[in-house]
Amino acid sequence: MISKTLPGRLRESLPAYAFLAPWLIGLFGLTLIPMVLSLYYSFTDYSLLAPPVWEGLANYQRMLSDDRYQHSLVVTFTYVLLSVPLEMVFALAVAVVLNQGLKAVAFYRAVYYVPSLLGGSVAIAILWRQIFGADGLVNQVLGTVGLDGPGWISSPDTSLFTLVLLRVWQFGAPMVIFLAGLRQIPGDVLEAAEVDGAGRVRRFVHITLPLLSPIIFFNLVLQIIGAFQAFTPAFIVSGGSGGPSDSTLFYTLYLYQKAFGSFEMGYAAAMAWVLLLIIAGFTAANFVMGKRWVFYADEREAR
Amino acid sequence: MAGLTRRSFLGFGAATAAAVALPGCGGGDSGGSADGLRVAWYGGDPVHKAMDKALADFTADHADLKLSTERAAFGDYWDKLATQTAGRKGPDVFRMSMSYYSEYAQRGALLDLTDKAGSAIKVDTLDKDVAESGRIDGKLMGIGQSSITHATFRNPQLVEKLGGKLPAEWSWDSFATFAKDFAGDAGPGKYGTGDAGGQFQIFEVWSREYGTEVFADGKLAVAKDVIEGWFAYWQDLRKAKAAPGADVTAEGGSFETSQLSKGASPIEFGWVQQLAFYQPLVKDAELVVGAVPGRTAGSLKGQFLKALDFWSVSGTTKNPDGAAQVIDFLVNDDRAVKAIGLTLGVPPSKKSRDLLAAQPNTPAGRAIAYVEQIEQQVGPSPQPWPKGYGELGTVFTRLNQDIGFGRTDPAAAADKFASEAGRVLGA
Amino acid sequence: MSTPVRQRPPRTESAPRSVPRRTRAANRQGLMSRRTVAHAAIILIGLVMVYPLVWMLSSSFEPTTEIFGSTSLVPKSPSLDNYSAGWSGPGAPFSVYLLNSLLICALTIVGNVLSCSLAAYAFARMSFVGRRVLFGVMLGTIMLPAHVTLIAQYSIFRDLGWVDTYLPLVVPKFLGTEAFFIFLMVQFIRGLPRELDEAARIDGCGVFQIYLRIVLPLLRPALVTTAIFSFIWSYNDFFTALIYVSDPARLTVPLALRTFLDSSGQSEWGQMFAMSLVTMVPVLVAFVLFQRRIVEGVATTGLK
Repeated sequence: MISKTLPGRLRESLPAYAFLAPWLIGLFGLTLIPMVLSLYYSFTDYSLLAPPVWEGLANYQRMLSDDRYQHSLVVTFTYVLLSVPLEMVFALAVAVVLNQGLKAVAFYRAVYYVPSLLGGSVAIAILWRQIFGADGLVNQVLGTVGLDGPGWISSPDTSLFTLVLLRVWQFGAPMVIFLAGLRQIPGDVLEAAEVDGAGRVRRFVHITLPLLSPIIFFNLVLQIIGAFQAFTPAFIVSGGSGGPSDSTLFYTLYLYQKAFGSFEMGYAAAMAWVLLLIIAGFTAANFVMGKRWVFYADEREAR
Repeated sequence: MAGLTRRSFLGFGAATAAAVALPGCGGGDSGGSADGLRVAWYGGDPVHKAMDKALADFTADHADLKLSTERAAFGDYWDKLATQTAGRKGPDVFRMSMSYYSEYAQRGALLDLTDKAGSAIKVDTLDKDVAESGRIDGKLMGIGQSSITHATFRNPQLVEKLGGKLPAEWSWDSFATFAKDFAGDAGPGKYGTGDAGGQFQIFEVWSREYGTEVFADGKLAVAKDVIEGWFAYWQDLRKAKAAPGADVTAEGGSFETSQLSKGASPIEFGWVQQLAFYQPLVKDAELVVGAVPGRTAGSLKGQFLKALDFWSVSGTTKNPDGAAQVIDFLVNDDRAVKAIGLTLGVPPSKKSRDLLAAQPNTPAGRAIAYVEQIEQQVGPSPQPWPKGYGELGTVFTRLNQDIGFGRTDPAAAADKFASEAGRVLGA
Repeated sequence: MSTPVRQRPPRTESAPRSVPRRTRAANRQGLMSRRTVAHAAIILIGLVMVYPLVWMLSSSFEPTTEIFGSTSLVPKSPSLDNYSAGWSGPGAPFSVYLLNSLLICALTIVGNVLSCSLAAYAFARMSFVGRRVLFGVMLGTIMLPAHVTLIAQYSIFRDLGWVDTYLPLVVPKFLGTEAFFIFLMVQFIRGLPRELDEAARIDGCGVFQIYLRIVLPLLRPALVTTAIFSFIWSYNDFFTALIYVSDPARLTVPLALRTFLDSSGQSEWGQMFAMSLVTMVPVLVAFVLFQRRIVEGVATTGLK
């Protein structure tokens, strides 16, 4: 069936390219050109207001001596490492519970999704202050047991954690995807296992998890990408500053400050490409490791 | 429109393109042509309403010019304007802030209005320093929208409740004493003043009183020890609990959440027109607007009267004459002056202020009275803020915060600021 | 690790079975109490989840000056002023902005579902030259922060004459630029056993028919998920709309909401809260409806 010659293989590829046509038009027409241009900008001094001027690797070299840049890396890695596992476990747990066929499950699902509906709304800035501020709800609750909490949101030591919690609070997206994935698991498989006497936990570990693994993998990859690119939470809650004292200076927030606040789009583009490499590294690692634990139904014969 | 929408579901690409483009005004370039003008500004809802009204009157006079408008809140506005400018599709006439003025002016994004000023755009009625505020490198790239000066906003009732009295003027020393006394009398959770240590624009007053201009010829001119003195001054107030701790200040950040609005402090620093924003938030007292403390009590040499907001014209406009007409109308026409009122700040001419005849007991009236009262006493107005000013302002705020959180000290912060200024301004 | 597939019985057209299974399970001892615990936990966490929103709701009935610093859920002097003032709002009534946003959302959903499912099918099921490279490129396009591609994209749309129209917000969705969804669907398709396609092929179906008749119906949960996210993300999208939409009558909901706030002047937080809540209603309704489609979709395909 498979032709050895390239023209032959190309001819056999035609149907696939037909399916890919809209995406390919978008890729070459709308996505790739800006990406390539941004790569070019990264080697220039570009203020946005005047044409870019070539300056080679200067932007990349500058990152090595930029304290705030390096600090933003630390902040971002901390955020990714804390928020992604928390959000994933929480989203999966809630999705599994909601998939149990509880009554009023549609209502619960909606309730759990409501925070995510707020998205990046500016209202969140006030909500989070209301909860984690010095006079906020958390401290009022702590006060009833005689504890005096700090202004969580305004102390550099704790502010990042309130943003981690914000991400966990808005866990609706991965939860919905998990739910859809759980819905795809054939009931008869689980049922057969139940008949064989497999307990709830065993069924979950040996059947649900493997069958759900492509979806877990998807969520993991996308949540890591998303967390590295996180911008809006810090932008809104810190009013764009990444404060207090740069404690919530996410990578993309710093990039944005450079691009639009200081008119250093060249530097920002260089930062973007370094971020792309970092994310690509994590994603590639995920794919390599995924080969060991992700199970695809369509690869059955191959095994 | 429903039919169009339904049709667009049938296909993608061109069919959809047509369907989505139609519901508007035809799509494509609506501005930038010789008979059309795009006017853009930043602000909140009151500004939008005022500008719409003023431009409606303009359109009534100039049916030949097709105006379209663009509006956004301050922060969003700059992202959009930078993108448009980069894409060479900036609006023809737009509101420009001193914070970004040099960025745009010195990179050729703005049109030199020198030949228009005095002819197409009348500027002879504008306040003395305001008319020339937009001059940079000999070119006039913006016409002042408002006369602005520094101010303190004071809640006398809060002070009188504790048996104290607000003096009319302060030196920085007597101000510190006042703040400490007030905080001591009022107890925990109350402060003598909001923390202005991170306000780079108020620091300018201090700098001019204690030495030099902050900037000269695009370079940092103020000495490090003057910066250190300022940081140390506020750190002392914070330590004495006369000013709120860094965490409390970090939680504020807007008019609504300021210590003055919360009734936790009788003093806040800012620009004169902000009285109109604070007053509605402090309902049980009539706020007083007064000068910023001086090196000696009553000295106003550090302050200045100037325009910090401009009407500017895009360097790529195809209709510079129409743009000039719009600006002249906005600044000089009685209908525009009345429609705009004080939404853009204190009007930049005595004529406009008299026309508005704001009641002396309203926030607007008090703001105008304050401007006219200090007009003759303030120092000369400085050069436009240099390129990179916006960034340095945030550096300054952050350093004050770092000191407050104990992450650095005033001397190190002053060093750091000087080196950052060298980096930002140097290139 | 056990290979779970071995346990899977041969695939026959089995009737939906979740109902009898549940009835049988419900008879088991201890399940009732376990379910109560599950309910209790869900409700408790649910309360924590919604507290901020209830507070927002309560605040929407108070004047802006009362909102700050109060964690109480009961408004002191409730009034509908924020709703009436907010609705007539910035320039046009909010219904205009809602319709603008809904139009964009509807087109976005159609665009994403169509273009992404086509691409995903090719990536998941077809072999073609350059597949690995293109898949990598596809993933790569979601890795670059939008702030740096924005400028060049703006120039492209300017040259097309699309600035100040909705086209830049909608057309890319028909061209699969939201690669997130392609990847999502690839993962779902790869969870479907291949023998379904092969059976269809033996029956004489071409690739397009397999896509249309076999894969799309089975992909329903993923398609609905895509629809939900397409809707919500495009409904909430602020930055793209900020750059491309200027005409005050054509603002989208997020843009209109921002006009209540201005850091250089007064902010109407109360009105912003009120209108935020009002504009959440369509999203919530859409979400609940779509969610039901996931459940129904599964029941009617006869897969489970």
